[in-house]
Amino acid sequence: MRLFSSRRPAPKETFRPDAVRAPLRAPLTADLRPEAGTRVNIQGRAAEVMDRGRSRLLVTGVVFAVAFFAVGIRLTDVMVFSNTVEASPIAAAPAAPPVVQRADIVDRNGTLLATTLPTPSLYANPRQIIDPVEAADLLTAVMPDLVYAELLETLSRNRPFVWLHRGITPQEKFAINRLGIPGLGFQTEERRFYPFGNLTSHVVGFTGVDGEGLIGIEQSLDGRLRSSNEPVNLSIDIRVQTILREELLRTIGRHNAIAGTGIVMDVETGEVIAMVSLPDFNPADLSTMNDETGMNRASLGVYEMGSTFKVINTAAALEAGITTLHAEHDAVQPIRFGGFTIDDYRGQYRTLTTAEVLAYSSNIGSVRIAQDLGTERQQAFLDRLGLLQPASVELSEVGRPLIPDPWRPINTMTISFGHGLSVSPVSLVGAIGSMVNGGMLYEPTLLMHGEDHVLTGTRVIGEDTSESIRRLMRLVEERSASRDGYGDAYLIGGKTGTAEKPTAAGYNDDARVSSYVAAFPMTDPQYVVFALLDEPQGIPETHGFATGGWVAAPTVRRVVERIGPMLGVAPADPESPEIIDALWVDIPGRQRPEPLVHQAGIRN
Amino acid sequence: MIRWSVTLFSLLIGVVAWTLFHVSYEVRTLESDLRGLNRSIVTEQQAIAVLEAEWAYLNRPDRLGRLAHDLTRLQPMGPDQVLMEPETLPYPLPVLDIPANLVVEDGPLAGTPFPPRRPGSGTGSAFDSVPVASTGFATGGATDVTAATESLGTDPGSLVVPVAGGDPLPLTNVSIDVPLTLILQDEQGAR
Repeated sequence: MRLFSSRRPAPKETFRPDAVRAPLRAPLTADLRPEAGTRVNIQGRAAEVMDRGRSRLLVTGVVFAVAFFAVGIRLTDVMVFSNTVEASPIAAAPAAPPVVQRADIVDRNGTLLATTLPTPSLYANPRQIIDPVEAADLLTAVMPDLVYAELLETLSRNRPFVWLHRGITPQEKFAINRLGIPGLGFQTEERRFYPFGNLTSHVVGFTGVDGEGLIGIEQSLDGRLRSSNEPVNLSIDIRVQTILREELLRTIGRHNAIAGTGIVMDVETGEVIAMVSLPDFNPADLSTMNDETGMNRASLGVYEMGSTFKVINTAAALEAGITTLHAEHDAVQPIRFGGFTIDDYRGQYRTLTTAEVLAYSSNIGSVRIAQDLGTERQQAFLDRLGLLQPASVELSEVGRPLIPDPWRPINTMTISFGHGLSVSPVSLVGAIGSMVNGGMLYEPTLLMHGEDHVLTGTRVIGEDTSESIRRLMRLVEERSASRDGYGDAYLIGGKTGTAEKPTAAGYNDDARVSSYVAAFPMTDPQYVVFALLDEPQGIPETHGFATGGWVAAPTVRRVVERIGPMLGVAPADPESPEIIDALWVDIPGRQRPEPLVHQAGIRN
Repeated sequence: MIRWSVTLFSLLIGVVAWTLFHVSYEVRTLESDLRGLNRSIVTEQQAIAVLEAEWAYLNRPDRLGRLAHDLTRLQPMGPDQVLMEPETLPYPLPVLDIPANLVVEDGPLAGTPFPPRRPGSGTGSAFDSVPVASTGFATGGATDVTAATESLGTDPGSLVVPVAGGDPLPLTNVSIDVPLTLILQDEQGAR
């Protein structure tokens, strides 16, 4: 039986309207209608057609039943199980800024150093501006940056779109909206904002137009800043940074130096609390950036540090056990070696004890100590202090130390007083930190240690050597001619350094790098403070001197005086017998002060 | 029968349809509310970010220093203004109970309790407790008092008043209105 046919069956005969066709079924007349209950047997052609109709009905019915069943199932599914099957896209969307391009950078107290802000930029559709003169009048009143003549010309052009000012502040946007000028609009763009401007220019760095970090932490931690919304905690304390920068600026101005840099580091952790390099630039105005201002002298600059290296030289000798604080060294005559003459700045020209070598900053004595130590041990010691590799601080702008190659005996001799080996200030500060903190070297870091941070340090010298070094550095500070009372209560100890700048023709007497590296309080050092001035000039107040002791040391003392209370360092009475006991070191001719007799009946 | 079930089913269908319609629209409203809330949260968060940046900008240490210099009399803290151990701070001891059994032994007021009591106030003194200056402030005139009474008051912390021994101070000259300077003995009994 054929259920369906795709074609209508062809008529058996030619269709003739007038022809009488055989009826499909017998005409049902009233008389012929069968009574109820009677079975009618239809046969022939009629029966075939009915059969086919019934089959079609059945199949259609089944198809519809299946379809409705499916719809019912789906309906139940959607209505009853929809929440578990597919969550609403809106409910799933978190209430957070949709896209954050970059994480914030904050200092150790959580002060915002860099953040990304939606910044409106002002544009105009000059065709919609009714009165360009009035609009220009009103706009220049609100935004002094805009030049009236230029603005008027821009607004009078027959163009559908012109930029008026990129990156305006929310207040300016508010003020412009208040003017109610038609045809002005704002386009919001993401912009990096540095609230402290110049103060953090080298450490934090800045980003380019596409939001990629170009220098500083912005560059070195670019991936981290892009991938996570969590702010990056720097070890910098913006208050200490401010003080260090102010004091360096003051000294640079006073001594007409071409540049300066300074670092404050926590000796117990290696965290850098402040890092300043001057001149600096404003990250919001990159026209202020050039080769001079863009250079981070604290990490990228490498300098011959001069006499500050004598601390390291002495520590190496004490640690190796080849000398003691009171062992004597021959500093009677300048040393002549292969065409060089090594002389003292203010020579004693006699036998000096190790302590005196540091106290008088004797180059001759230092060379004698280094000769006793030998090249290999000197090299190994400097290597352990990390002075022969670039510093591991989290910046890309890290200077590679200039190491003599080959390392001849003359290099061993000059390195003992800080010439012939150039290192970056941040490396030196890390090394000096290990000299005073009991002998553990902690790599300087710009990232604040979390509470669960495990400190990893390497022992470079013993506790005893470190204590001797503390006494020696205190001795140097106490004998400094430039002491002015600043920072006395914080028991500073330090070592000056003055290095003549090397030029093509040899060392230049007039161009110096003067530095002072100090730690405080010397009874239990907590911070290392370093200041370096590039080509300072002598002034009458310093008797014409531009040495580390006269230029950098007073800077460091002022910094310490100001940051001491801020960092919670306990001031102490430097005259008290306990302090003198803790920091005393005998050198010939040094008179120990009598302990103050406390007057009976006077109590504090 | 058939009519009854048809009625029931149409009713059921009607109720279900209405409920579905209603719930669906309610969900749509809630979702749009949620969208609005999320949008305003994001706006607020951006506003907070802007305000935080402005706060950091306004709190630049150099600006604060300038404002403090121009508008206040505050000065940077010096090391002599820092005291690490609070117990060394010279401040007046809060209160000291005066022993109740002190009696003036000599002079015109001999036999009367010291300090004087109001009539009818029983054993309680009008000066049950007297604020006492610490030794840090006890200088000057007070020296005479203790010099005269050095032998007294071996009990640590007891009060030294000129009531016996040596050369007692004429108490008649001590006016109650005048602030009394009283000296604390320390453990050794020496001043």
